[in-house]
Amino acid sequence: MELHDRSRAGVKILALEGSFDTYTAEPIRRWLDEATRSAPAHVVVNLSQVDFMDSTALSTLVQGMKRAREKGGELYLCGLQSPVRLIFELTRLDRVFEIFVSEEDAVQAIKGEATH
Amino acid sequence: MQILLLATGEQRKLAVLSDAIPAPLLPIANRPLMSYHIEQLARQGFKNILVSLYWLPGYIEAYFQHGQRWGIELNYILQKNALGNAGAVRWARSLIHDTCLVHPVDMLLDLDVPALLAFHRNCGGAMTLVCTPGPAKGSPVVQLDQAQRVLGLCDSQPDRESVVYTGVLVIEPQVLDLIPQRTKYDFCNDLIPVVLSAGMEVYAYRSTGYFNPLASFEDYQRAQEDVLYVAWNDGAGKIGRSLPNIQKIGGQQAASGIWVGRHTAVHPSARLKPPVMIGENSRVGRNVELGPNVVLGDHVIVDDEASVQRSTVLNNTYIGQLVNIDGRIVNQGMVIDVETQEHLQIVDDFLLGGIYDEIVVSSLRRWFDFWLALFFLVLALPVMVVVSGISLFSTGGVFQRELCARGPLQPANPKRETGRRVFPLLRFRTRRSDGSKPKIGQWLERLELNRLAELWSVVSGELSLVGPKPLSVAEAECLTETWQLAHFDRVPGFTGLWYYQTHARSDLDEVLVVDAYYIAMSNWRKDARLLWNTPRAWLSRVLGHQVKMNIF
Repeated sequence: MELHDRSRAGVKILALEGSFDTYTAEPIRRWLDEATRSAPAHVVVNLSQVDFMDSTALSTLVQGMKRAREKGGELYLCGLQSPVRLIFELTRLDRVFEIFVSEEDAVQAIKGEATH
Repeated sequence: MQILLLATGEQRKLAVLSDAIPAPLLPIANRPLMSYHIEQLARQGFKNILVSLYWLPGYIEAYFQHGQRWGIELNYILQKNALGNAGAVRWARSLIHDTCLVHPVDMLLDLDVPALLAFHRNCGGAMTLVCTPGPAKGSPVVQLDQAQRVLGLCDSQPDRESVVYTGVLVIEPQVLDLIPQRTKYDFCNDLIPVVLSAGMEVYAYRSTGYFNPLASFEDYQRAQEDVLYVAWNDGAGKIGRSLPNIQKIGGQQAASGIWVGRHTAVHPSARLKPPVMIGENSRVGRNVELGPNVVLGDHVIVDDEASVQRSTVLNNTYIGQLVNIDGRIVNQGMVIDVETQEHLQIVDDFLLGGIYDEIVVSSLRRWFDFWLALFFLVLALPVMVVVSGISLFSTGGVFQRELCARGPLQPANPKRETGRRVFPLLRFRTRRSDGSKPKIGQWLERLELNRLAELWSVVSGELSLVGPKPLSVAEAECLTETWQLAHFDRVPGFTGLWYYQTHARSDLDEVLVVDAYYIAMSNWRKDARLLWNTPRAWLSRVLGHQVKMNIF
């Protein structure tokens, strides 16, 4: 699992690569904790290079979203591959997260959210 | 050219049916509606198709997957909100770089796509609407000038002379930028007026092929019959209307106009009048009268002396003895009158009902739970005797009960606050009656030996051996969102994925996410492995390690 982080227009972006599961979730949890420390915490997680997710990964993202919202921010997801999207659908978490096709769309939407 | 199929199901056409079965999967002669569109496009050489999904997306994707079966590639775009037809195309904007054919799937239309594209290129308009002559109820009427330019759309009642819009259109990608982002937006009501007032040209292409808007159940039943008559060579002349262009039909033709699926048994005394189509794994009983114009789905039972005419019966439906079905669409206990569109839910399973696999599976599971738990209970008896002795001497009692909630909401049950089934979860007592906890009680809890008494709840049927975590009544009340409510679809378990991946201090959301994942991904093999590895998981928990096991 590789983590690539960058920042665009005040939005923190985390791009992941590989399989996101029990064994690899810890550094991501730490990154999300750090990113949501100060308000407003706007985070986009790019999953376009993630080919597998398990329950630990899902709960890491849910915790991240809760923390972001506590700090008046949002956590959006983008670029889900089919197997990963299927997991979101099966667990019905696709209705909980805002999920975008591209990183571009997600960053734009989160900026739109910030100006409201 | 690119192709976008709108399979969002937002229009709620054929609502009573499409609430349960997403409209793209509604069967027409036992094949999902959307497969007719995909076949038509594949036949004309289009290999890459985008599909917009919103309502019940998982079922649609599970059926069509990536289109390998048709030799094409399907890609899906999932919407979280209802955006209208134009909004759905806007949502897919970043994937559309070329002239795009936008095709809703909740209708049937024979379309010559290359001819349409040539027409669009020739006219050079910003959009081309696919129109069809004649009256089609519920379709907007298009007003045209001499050069086939669209002047506007109106909702007036179409007559024989008028031209109606089918819902299919060709659009240039730059026009999509006129649609506001993430807003509900409609082609007819919103975008076309804006495009026309901006001075851009919209043309109408007249399609002469088969068109069925599927706006009503009458249309739906007609579509079934049309497909049957196409395949039934002797009958094609008998129905005085245009028929769709379909290459194949499911099932073996047993006699002229009679198709029977695999593993289906028809009693020799049954009388069949063509056209009749029967799906797979079905049974037609003694002295049954079937047809004409009947489609029975898969796993359908028509019991002795029943009769069915001019009707469509969907999968997993039981039709009782002597029942007469004429001019109806039947889906399990639901009966819809084709003419009046009225629908009725039959609660008497002897007349009509659903056939469910889950009943068999759940009773088998219950059987395993009972005998295995009883076996473990006997095995653990010596330990339990010691633990109950410790409980009795340290706290003055043997058992404590925690009220837990499970199962679906039961509306007619005002007494119970949660509205769900409440049951006491039995554990060995670790607290004194004043609430204080003796040292030995803390030890019992750390070793989780107090939980052994839960095996009794498994034997009595309140718990399963493997399942989601049992939730207390207070916790159950915190669950409101759809994804969380999946928790109640299953009987809670003595052990489960939660036992491996959460601990006593985990917050509720963490437990719920793990269980949502478990419920979505579990099967009996994984359950068996979860149960088998529970002693190892227990050891890790007691030693304070994180349980790392690759079961899911």
